[in-house]
Amino acid sequence: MNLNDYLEDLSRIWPEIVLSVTALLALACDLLQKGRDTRVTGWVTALGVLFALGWICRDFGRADGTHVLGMMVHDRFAMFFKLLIAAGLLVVTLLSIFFRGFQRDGIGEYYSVLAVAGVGAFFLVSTDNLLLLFLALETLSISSYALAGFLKRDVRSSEAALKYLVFGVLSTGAMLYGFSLLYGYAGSLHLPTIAATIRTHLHVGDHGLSPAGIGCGIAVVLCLAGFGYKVAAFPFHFWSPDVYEGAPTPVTTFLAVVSKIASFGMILRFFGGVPHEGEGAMPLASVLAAVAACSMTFGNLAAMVQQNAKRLLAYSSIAHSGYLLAGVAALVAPGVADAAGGHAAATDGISGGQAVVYYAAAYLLMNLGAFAVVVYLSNRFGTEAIPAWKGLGWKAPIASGALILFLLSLTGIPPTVGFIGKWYLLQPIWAKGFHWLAVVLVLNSVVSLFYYFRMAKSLFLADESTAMASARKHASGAELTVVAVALAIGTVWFGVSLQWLSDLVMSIRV
Amino acid sequence: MISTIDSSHLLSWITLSPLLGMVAILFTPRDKSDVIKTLAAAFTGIPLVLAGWLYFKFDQSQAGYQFFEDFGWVEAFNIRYTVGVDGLSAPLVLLTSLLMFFAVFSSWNVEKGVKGYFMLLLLLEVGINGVFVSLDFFLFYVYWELMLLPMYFLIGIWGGPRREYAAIKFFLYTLAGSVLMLVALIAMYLHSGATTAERTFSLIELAKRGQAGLFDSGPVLLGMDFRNWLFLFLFIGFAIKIPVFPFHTWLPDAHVEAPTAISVVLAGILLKLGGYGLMRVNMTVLPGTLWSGGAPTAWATALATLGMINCVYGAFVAMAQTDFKKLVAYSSVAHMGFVLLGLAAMNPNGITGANLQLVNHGTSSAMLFLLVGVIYDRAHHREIAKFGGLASHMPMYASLAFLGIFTSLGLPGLAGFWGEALSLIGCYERFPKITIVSTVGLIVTAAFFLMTIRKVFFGPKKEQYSGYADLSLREWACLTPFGLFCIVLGVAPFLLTDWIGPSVHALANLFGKS
Repeated sequence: MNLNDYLEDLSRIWPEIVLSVTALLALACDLLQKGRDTRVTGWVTALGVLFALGWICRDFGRADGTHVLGMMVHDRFAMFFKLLIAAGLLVVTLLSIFFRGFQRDGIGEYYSVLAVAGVGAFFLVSTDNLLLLFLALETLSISSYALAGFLKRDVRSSEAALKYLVFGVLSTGAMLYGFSLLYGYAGSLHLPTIAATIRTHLHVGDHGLSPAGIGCGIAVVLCLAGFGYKVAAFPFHFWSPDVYEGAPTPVTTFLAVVSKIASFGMILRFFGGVPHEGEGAMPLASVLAAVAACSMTFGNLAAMVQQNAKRLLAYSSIAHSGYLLAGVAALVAPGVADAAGGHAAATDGISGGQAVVYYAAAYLLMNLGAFAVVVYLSNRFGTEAIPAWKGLGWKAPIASGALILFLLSLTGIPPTVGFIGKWYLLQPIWAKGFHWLAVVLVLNSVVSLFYYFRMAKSLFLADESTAMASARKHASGAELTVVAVALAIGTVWFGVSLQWLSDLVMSIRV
Repeated sequence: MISTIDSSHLLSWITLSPLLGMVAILFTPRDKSDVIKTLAAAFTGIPLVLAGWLYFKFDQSQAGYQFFEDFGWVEAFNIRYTVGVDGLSAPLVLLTSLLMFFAVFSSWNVEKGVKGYFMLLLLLEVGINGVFVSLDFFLFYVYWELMLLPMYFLIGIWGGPRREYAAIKFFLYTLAGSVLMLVALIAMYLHSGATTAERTFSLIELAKRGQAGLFDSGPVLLGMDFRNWLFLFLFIGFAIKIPVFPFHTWLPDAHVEAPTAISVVLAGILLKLGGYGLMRVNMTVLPGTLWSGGAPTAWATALATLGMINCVYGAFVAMAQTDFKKLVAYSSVAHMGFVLLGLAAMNPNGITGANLQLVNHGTSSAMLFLLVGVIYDRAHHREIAKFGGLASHMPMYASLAFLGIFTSLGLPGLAGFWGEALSLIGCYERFPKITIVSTVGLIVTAAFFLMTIRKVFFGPKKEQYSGYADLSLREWACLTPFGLFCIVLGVAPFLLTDWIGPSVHALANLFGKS
């Protein structure tokens, strides 16, 4: 490789480089500030992330699937996920700057760790090499453990970090074992080769599974344990409610949104090469569908009894992992022929992978919004308990109104982006023959309405005079309102003006 | 089938102009409540005037869609913004615009959160009119769900003591129905063609393909045909809205807790959406499920049976009520049974009857809820047994109440009669036994309404009601138009039947000439 090729390759990973430099700058900035005003560090980080975001937008058209340094792919898929991650990171940074809990402690290093986590997420969605995938995943995970414990004087925060770490290490171990088995079967670290191996071995033809198929199946299940842990899917979700509740809210936002979206990017990369057009069954698809159904049902049912907004959103995000996994199941499933033969159930149209990509974008907008309002309300009124929000909607109508839109979107009611996301998800699920899963999914959205709208009930259905919480002094929260309103506009805008985002997603090959 | 593209965008103006009102109200200061109310009246007035214009411009000799508009929305999936009305939907657009206008006036005494209240009311109008004019199933669905949120808050914030429960119950029930509709919608779309370019959401195109037997093939799931699954899912969605027994339990709660104007809208229009949806989607796109081999199928019998249960059960439950408003609410359940009976008959008489019943029940139940609202404003309770002798204290009120009640119980010469009579006549041709049992509902309805009149308006005078003022000017203005409709449509039903006739016949022709 000559120098020019090397420089050319480097120019394709500018966002990663920018973010790494941002992490160092944040560290230096904090040293200069001597921990006096962490906001400055925050703004420096935000600028860096914004710069990376701008670069991704600028570079979007250049993404042509070129291999970079033999380990990464510079394609639209990676760029789109990086776009989501960078946008999420920007909002998380803003939330951190305005989060009250952070303003008491010196938390300068926080922003540096956050940026490093972002770098991990970037690499995670762009690599097609098993080894780099593992490294990226660990960069993201280890940063996340640290982030969760950043409220040093808060026992719950420390507990969250420890819990996250213990569960994380366990599942990483299982996953790594799965990786090693897969490497044995495939003889390569290249993800498409591994996917092809899974396809050949796990495909159930006339003779059932071969011994290699069984071994390969065990390997995939072990990997799924690791992936399931990262996206908090049932039955690997146990850590998430405690961690989400205990961690500082901006970190919860990061875990629930940025980290989860990056992990789904990884899952799509991993399984993207598996689907095939032929006849026969793919047990992997059924396993994924079952995990998806359990995840959404369990998440939604458990969320119904939650009183804490963050905990509720944690269970809700377990359910959303279920929705997304249902799309992955549709991606992995082989195409089915229509029983009556009339119209071959088509592979034409949106694929399961594309639907997941779209839903990830929707998930980003609405969840960031919901968390932004939670931060706003806890900043201004000092509580995250939903019953204590009684009547606050009348005191903070704009932010609370925005929250209603996010809740609508999370439930999947038009005209919001969440509805369009569900709409696109349902198509491949139905087309691939998972009719029962489509019905389970929509019924789950009815269940979810019940608990999402408990927030609406607390905020608006009670009279203003019944409000128990009173606003703190000097807590206007205007900045957070701006963030929430901007996200709300996005939520509705992409729910009505569908063309642009749909075309963009349809141009991504998954 | 389609005449011409409408260049004046009349239907879009009718549907979307309340959105302008929402923006105007949004930028009005919170304390200027009179300005807000006037703006709301103005922006519900615009659709009303335009809908009146629509009535006169509508070509009554045609069965096809008129005032047609068509734009691409998402080209990649063939989702389009297509609107148009025919004889089935045009009267309901007029009804909606009318009721929403009067709903604003009957909400004039709202004081809490005025801004939010009227913005939500306007949003509700967008949703309802949107459903009636949509000819693209995707668009239809978006409008269908757009109604839920405003209704939730209107009941939940401005409602009675158990409003929180009633509001979420309404929301959950209707959402449960509509998500199943969503599954059916996606299944239909995917089945409508092999490639994206061939697939469509257009209700016109789906109807054409459905009538040609497209949905007769398709995956058989759990031993049931594809088209029957589609029918079932769509039916549940619409049945919850109508509401059909056993999905009706949200209705009494929602009606009783909702403020007067919202009860009017609920009973007057929202219930109509279910009946309309059955005609527009189930019957038009999937005629084969109701009628095959020259005879009604089990689905048609099931529809008629459910209609019968609604008529009889609804009437008996209404009879047992002690709360005036709950009584009116259950009487709606009984009345919507006739719609089902008429539709299950699938002949011109039955379908005409069902449509008349939709419009007439829209005006008469709206009137009844307004009447209950009048007395509740004065007495602050609705216990039928506690009233008595009101006819002598409030003679004008009593006379209008008699008019409303008699229309509702189907007295010949008043509007309510025609819908019930034609539905029953139509249904008798197909299901004589079921029809005969249903008439029991008619008798019970008459009985409980007459008993109510006796208890509330006659009997010994009660001292505590002696000081009550008769109708105020605003109440007069709200009630008399509905009273007029009850009389005019009773004497001259051809004003409606001429209008809906061609479309009804086109629909009935799908089920064999009778």
